[in-house]
Amino acid sequence: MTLAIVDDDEGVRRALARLVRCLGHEVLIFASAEEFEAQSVAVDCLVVDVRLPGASGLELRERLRSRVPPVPVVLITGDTHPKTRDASRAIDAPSVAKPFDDLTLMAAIADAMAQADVVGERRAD
Amino acid sequence: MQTDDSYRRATAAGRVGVWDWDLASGEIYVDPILKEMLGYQDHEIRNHLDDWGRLVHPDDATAVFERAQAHINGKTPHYEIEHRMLHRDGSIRWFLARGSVTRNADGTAAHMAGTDTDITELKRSEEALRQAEELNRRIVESTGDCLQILDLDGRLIYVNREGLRLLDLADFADVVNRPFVGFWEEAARQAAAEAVATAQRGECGRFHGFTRTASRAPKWWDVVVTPITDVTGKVVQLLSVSRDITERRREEALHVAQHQVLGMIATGSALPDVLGCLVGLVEQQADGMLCSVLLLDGDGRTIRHGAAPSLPDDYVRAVDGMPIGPRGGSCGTAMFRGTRVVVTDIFTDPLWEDYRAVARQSGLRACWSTPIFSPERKVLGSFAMYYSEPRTPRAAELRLIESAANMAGIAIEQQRAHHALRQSEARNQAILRALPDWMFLTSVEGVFLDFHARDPSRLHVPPSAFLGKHIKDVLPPPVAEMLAQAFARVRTSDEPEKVEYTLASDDTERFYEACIVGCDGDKLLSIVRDITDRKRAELEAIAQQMELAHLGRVAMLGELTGALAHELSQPLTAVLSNAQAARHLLDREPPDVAELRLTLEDVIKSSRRAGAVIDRLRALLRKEDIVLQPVNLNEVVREVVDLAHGEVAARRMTVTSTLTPEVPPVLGDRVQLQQVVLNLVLNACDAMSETQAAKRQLALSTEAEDGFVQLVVSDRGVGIPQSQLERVFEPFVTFRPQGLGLGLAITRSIVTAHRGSIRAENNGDGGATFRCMLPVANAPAIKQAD
Repeated sequence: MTLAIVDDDEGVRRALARLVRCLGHEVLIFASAEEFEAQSVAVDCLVVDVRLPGASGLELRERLRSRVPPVPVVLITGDTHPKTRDASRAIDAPSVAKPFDDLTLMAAIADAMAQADVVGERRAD
Repeated sequence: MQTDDSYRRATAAGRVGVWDWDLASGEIYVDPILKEMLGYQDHEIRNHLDDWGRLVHPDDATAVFERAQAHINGKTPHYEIEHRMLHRDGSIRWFLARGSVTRNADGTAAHMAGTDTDITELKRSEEALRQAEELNRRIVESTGDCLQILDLDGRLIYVNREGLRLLDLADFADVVNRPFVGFWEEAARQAAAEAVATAQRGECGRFHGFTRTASRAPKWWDVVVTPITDVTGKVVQLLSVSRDITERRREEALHVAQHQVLGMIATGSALPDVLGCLVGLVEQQADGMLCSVLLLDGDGRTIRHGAAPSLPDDYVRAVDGMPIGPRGGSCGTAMFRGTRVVVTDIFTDPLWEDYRAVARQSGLRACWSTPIFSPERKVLGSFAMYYSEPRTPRAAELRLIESAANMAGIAIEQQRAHHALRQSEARNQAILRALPDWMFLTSVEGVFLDFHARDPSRLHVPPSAFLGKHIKDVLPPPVAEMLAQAFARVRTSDEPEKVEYTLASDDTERFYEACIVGCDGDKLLSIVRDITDRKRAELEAIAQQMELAHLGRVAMLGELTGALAHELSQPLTAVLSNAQAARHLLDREPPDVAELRLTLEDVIKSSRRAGAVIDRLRALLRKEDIVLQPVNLNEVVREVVDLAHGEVAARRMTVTSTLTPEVPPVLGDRVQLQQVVLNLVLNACDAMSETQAAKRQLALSTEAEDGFVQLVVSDRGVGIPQSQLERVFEPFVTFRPQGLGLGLAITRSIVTAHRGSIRAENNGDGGATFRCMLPVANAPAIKQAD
């Protein structure tokens, strides 16, 4: 499986990429939503930080939801600010709070892919 | 006598010519010498009376003719006349004409012959003599001196008119032939006799003598006795020239008296003594004159006794305590009017109505009084002269009374000033007694000379332990050193210096403030105040301010938690992910050591990053003493922007920092200044929460400005209602939904504690700008409190 990781924090980006690779997956990394969208790559799942310079993780997810087939998205957030928290909760997307461990992340990825499948099947219907 | 004189004249005269007159024909023989005397040649004047007679001065012609006729008619034995002749050059010549007639047998005159002598020179010297005599006479008559001529026995044979006047003599006959020496009072007789003897020897004698005039007026004289000699140099008479020096002596005596009185004033003699002495001295100036000084009470209307050593006690008592007024005798009226009052007869003058009886009993009849003035022309009292008979004051007395009143004024004024000084000294003493401050007088080197302390037992060491000692031997070395430096500064700058120091006494520490000023040119006065209470209050205030600032920071961090959690969660996420990756790497066979090493490097990097965030947090939350030190405001701004990065990003704001490079450092506490910047940044963020995301611009700038560094924080938010611009710094005033309203209040309290200022203004194009001015540090770090 190929994952894309979008996080503006280089340390986080590198660590996540390393972890995902250790788990046996391919990884593409991007520092912003715009950078990711610029290279229309096909990925199985997108792991995106909510807070990004420019378009936020939430905005990126909205844009990707309209794609066919939809791209599964996992939101990661280190923010406990009420507004951000409420926003991610409201959209009912798989999300993990930083810091998280590998199993939590993989579970979220699985959830996201399952959710996307449901959506994809519904669209396919 | 006549013959002698004619002879003298003839011989004295130079030239003589003869003439012979034929009375019948009128022809007259004139000696050519005579014609020459008048500037003519012999032939130029016809020998006839008609021609010669014309040369007689017209004014004398009649007299000459009549004198000649008288002789011709036999009425005189000779013809003789002095008359003027006209010289050819227009000048006038004097001639002595003498002649006699020869008669016919019938007794009729036939011829008259005689001589003409030119006596012009003689006439001139006679005139000069006459003028000189006239001058002498005038001198004698008009001199202000008394001229007396004595015979060789020293008896008076002449006194000039002025002399009679000076001696109050009506007629010279009263004194003629009286011995000169007998005129003088006993004390001067010896000197007078010696002066006469000296003059008798042909020399000049001189003495000063005292005598009374015929009307008993005392007079002093400066007398010169000179000999009068005849042509042979023999002393024939004596001339005494006496100058009346009574006035001069009186003035000299007055001068001496003035000096005496001024001396008493200067040496601080009691006022009654000074006035008594003054009165006594003035009384000596004239016989029978009694004087008094009255004082005007402070109420401006009551008469008080001053000095009257010669006036009867009853009289003195009668006047003391009376009011001044328009009919208050001479003195009361003089004080009332403020002008001199002269009463020539107390028995008749209406001013004396109320005092007449007592004056009569006291034998007082005339009185003049002049007010005594202060330099500001305030009436202080009066000086009066009394006589026992009706009289008017002499000019000298009026001068004297003015001068005496002047001196009395000086004495009274001096006494009042002295009194006032004593009072003000007493007041100063009272103030000193009331002052809690201590005062120490030291030499410029720092040796204790004197001190004042209301309660010396509270002094750090007893007076015996510091007086005469150097500060370094009395006070702890750091305090002594600080004072010594302050002393040196006062000595060179002559500006007061303030020094604060602490001294430990028993188990407590007390704070003192010393104000050091130069004193008497070569000394220093240190006014020391115990400021322990104030200092404690100050420290308490600082502690409170710190507590408040700390609370502010805690509250602020509460608002920042979201952003800070993000700041921390980022490195922690990286650490956790890397650690888990490392476990997988370790599980590989063989373990990927190279990747493992990279992973651990990243773990370390991220952990350090997390540590840095925690450090910053800890710094903000720490509750330490304020340490004022030079702080670069640019660094503070950078640190805060860094710290708030998460929050700013979360709120989708852009921050532009325009920091002037190399702004001078400000004197401040780094953490508190960070708090100021952070507060302003968060305040700006809040203000822009409703602003369109694209416009959420926060601008930070620093610039140096005339001893200050200005920090400007500008937002594009909602701005501040104009009416609230002044109030935004008040506590609990907030326009933010989630603020306590303490942020800006704390900000201002910090800025003010840094001796800076802060103000808010609205931007022309929306949003608000906060300008904070902080003073540039130009002194080394000062630890404000322990």
